[in-house]
Amino acid sequence: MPYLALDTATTSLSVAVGERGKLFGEATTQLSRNHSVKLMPMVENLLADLDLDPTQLQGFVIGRGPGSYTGVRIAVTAAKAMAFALNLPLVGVSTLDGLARHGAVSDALVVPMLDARRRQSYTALYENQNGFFVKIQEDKLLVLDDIIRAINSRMVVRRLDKTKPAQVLLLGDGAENHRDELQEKLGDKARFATSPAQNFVRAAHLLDVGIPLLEAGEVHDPATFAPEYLQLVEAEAKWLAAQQAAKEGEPS
Amino acid sequence: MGYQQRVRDKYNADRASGKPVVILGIETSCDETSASVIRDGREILSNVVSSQIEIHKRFGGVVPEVASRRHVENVNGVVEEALTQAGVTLDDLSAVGVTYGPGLVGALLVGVAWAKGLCFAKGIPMIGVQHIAGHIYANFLSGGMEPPLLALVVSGGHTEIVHMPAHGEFEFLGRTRDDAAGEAYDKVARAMGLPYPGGPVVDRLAQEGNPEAYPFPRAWIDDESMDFSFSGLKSAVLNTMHNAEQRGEEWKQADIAASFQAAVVEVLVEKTVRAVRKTGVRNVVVAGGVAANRGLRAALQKRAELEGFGVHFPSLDLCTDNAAMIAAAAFPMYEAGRFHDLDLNAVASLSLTKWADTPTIPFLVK
Ligand SMILES: [Zn+2]
Repeated sequence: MPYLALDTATTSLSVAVGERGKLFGEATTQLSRNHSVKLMPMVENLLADLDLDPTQLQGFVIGRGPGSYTGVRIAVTAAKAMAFALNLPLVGVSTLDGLARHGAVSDALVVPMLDARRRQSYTALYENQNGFFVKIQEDKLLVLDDIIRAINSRMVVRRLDKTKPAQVLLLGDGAENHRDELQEKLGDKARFATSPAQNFVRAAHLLDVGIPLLEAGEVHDPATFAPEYLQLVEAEAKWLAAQQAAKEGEPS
Repeated sequence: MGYQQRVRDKYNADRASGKPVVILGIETSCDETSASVIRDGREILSNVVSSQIEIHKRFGGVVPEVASRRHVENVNGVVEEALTQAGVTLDDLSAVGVTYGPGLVGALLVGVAWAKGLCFAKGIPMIGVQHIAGHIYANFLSGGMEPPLLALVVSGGHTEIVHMPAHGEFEFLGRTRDDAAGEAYDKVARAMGLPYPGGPVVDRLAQEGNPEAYPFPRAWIDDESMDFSFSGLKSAVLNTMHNAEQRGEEWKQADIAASFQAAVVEVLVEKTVRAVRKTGVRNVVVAGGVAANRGLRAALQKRAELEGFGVHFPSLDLCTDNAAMIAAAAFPMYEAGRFHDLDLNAVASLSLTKWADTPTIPFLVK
């Protein structure tokens, strides 16, 4: 029985159906302006093309961000409802995983970058270790200089291991939008996608990450499951700062 | 089998079985996450409202992104609670009604995405509901009137007189040219230094004040018009307070509140009377958050008795946003077999009169 994966956190709208080690099908668009309108018809069509009914699914893998706040909520919310309705398990995985795994066969350090404006990107670090594609730094929102710093500091570690080339594969719109600067500062270490097909989030990659979690029973509770925004709402951040300041002003 | 066909099959089977129509309503247009189960369009089996008001108070108003995030966290629990309280399961549902506008688009999207996920998974017919229609339908839940009728819609975003000749049909007779009545309440309350949300506090203060202390203006526009304008009144109130402060004089909160409320209520009531006289429709319902206002309820009731027309207000808990009214408004759409498809979107500025234009699933009722 197959699993369904969904991601709407970026400009990529992607859904995939498959089992462990087997991809049944995937649908992805890059230019959808309206994930809210397109997501469920895309799910319906993909299942219909595979002669599947929603009741034949056995679980959900959801890209839980980071990415667009409004966008990421579309798939997360639809999945919360479907998991509730069908009484099926659900697991949220990082949207960055869905991008990074284009580099899963590479020996380079793999750095997915989702552009978050103001020279910032949502990013994480991955590399192959003993045949496994491993996440070595969790999702963060970083400015370009800090991303370069993180890459360089990982390169120091990688130089101790002769099998690991001093190369970094930079993926996603964050990499493309800052390509010149990354190239300049990282020199010949920097590699970029060789095709636009490697710069977007694929739901099929989310299945690779999520199915082992679902099968191990490592699932989220659909009732409390929520996106990973990596940022507080500005009004909340200001309020918390004001609370903190008031507390510090109090005589102890 | 595709979603459309599953919906047709379920609808035809449910109609043939003669079982009661059980509709789950979902409402997330602003800062309340609400779910409700309604039987046969009138009977409330449950109506769960999870209010975020305590969260937004600290910001002095609703922060849309905060509201959207809370809706995602709340929605499953609120629906589960509504089903449990109603003693029904998803398999008992005939349809789902969900607010798709107007409102905060990010907040609306949570309800819409959730409803689509549920309805797709279970093959349940889905009805997108216009939020203001929901407020009008709150009146049918508390018993009483049937169309044709007039609806006086008064809330933070709306001040309208609507003619409703039949279920699901709406025509504007009058609308505000600037601020909504509820908006004027909020702005005046803020200027008076009252806590958010200020409308109910102004209403309470008004009960203790002198409504003739300040002669605030009434905007009649002309003898015929059923349109409203509250920005002049709002400015007059703010100027009165400002000028008094400039002169070092005290102004009495309760008198300002009472005089302001008297001006708002008089205009709302008289324009409603104009609409009754002009259309000959003799039943009036009041809808929206300001329908809870005690000054308005008392004045309109009194005037209706004098003029000899019927007036109906929703019970107080149904004046604020809730999903029971959304499920109630979905009921006539269910009866007509008008269902939305999986491409339903949230529409931030969806008008009452445009509700019927959103395409529905082509239907073959057996
Ligand atoms: Zn409302």
